[in-house]
Amino acid sequence: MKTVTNLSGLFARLGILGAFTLFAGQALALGTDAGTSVQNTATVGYSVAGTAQTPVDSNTASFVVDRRVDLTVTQVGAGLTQVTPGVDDYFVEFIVTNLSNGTLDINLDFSQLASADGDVKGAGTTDSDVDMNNVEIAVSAASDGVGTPGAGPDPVIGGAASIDDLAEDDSIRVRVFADAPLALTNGQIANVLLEATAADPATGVDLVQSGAWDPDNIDNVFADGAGFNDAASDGIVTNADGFEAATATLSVTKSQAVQSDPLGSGLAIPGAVVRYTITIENTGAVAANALVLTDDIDTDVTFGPNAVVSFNGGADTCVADDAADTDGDGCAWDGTTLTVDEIGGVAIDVAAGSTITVEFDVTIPTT
Amino acid sequence: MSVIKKLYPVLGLSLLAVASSLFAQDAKQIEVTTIVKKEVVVEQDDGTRTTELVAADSVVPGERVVYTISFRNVGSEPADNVVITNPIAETLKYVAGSAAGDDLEVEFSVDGGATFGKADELRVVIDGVERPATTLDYTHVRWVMQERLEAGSEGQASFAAVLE
Repeated sequence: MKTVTNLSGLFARLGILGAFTLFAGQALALGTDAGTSVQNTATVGYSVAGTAQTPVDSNTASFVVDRRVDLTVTQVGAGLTQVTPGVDDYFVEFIVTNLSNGTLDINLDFSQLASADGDVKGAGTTDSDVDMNNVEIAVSAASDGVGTPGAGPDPVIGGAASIDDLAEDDSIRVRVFADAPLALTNGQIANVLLEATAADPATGVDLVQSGAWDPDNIDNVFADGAGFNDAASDGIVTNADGFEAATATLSVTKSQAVQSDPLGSGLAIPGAVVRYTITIENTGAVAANALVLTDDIDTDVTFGPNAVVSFNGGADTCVADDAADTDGDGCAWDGTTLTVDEIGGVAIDVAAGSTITVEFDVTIPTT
Repeated sequence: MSVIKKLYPVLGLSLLAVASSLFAQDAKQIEVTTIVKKEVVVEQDDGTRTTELVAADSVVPGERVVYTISFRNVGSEPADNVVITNPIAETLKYVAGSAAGDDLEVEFSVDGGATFGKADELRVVIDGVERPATTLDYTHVRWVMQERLEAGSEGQASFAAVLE
């Protein structure tokens, strides 16, 4: 506990330049530190019968400055964290700031939100009633320093799960890590809530606003604002952020058309050539990479040998040579199944919102 | 608990006073007490707001406290030239116009109690530039009694300050 008498005030006021230099690094903006004893003594001077008497001091009236508990939890970055289903170790980040007039411990907890909780980060960020896996909190190894929020080191998995001794005005980065379940579909949102509770810097126990005020001890006065999911002046601040599944969503359609027939009838009669067109569309948010297309071709039609497969209206072609794709052009044919894993010598990627087509001809045998 | 004390002429006098009161109790002709209260705004049932003084049990930065200094002539002779001097703590900001007391003239110091003057007369020089003093510059407030304090009479002085 620090005691400041009235007389030290003289020093601060008289030595303005010196005091400024001395205390420049202190966070004075948020007020007198909790635990400071503010003392007041009056002195009365007087004369009796024309003779000045020894001045008389009053008692000292004092009180201890209480802890004005205030903290904030702010989101970092715009938008939700994009995740790929089945991939681990994504995170959302928050910055927790201690606006109290003294050091705080801050206990942290998380919960997974639901659609009823509404948007967490602007319009269209409501939870899809899906949850992430293996959620865990990690606090940065060092605080940001006063006045430079976000400047601390990246929180890493395995970091502390609560905040120890966060100085007044200082902030620290906190991440909530989670794994994306494979079952997530494109656009699904899983939101998480971070709950920060002010705690005693000495014991780490959640602070209470007892109401049993004591002028000689540090009492707690909750002055925090209402968070995402908590009331004002409760010593707790919450905020939320979320994960959005961004995945490729492929649709595959196959159509057929008679190209020619011996009678010019346009009908699929023996001897007719039928063109199959396979259309692969990606309606998801990200590209689908390294596609492998396989097509078991009906044994009632003739395919090959060395049938030509055409891509995107003839922009590229390959030859379905043999099961081992000896010519290395990406198209293999083992007599039953056509396998395509490259177009024009490169792996098949379908960008978000785009379509590729694969065409090949079969012949209806005449015997 | 570490107590910061800067020796200063006024404090020197105060220490003398303490010492003299220890060894010569009967010489003390004036008794002085100081109390501190917190000012709170209370909303009444009809929606109006009133300020009330409560015990300073819970004080956080931004709140206002009121000091009341009561003095009484406990001697048998009248006291003249009664001056009540009160330093303003470093952590407190004097509330303009709050110093009060019957038959008391209020003055302030901006130089650690060396000199005093009326609020509108005080000036400070910061970085070579002179300007009128503000409440933030005040280091002391004092009340100068305009009448003599008769034996057995008493008076009160008060001021308000905001905890920074």
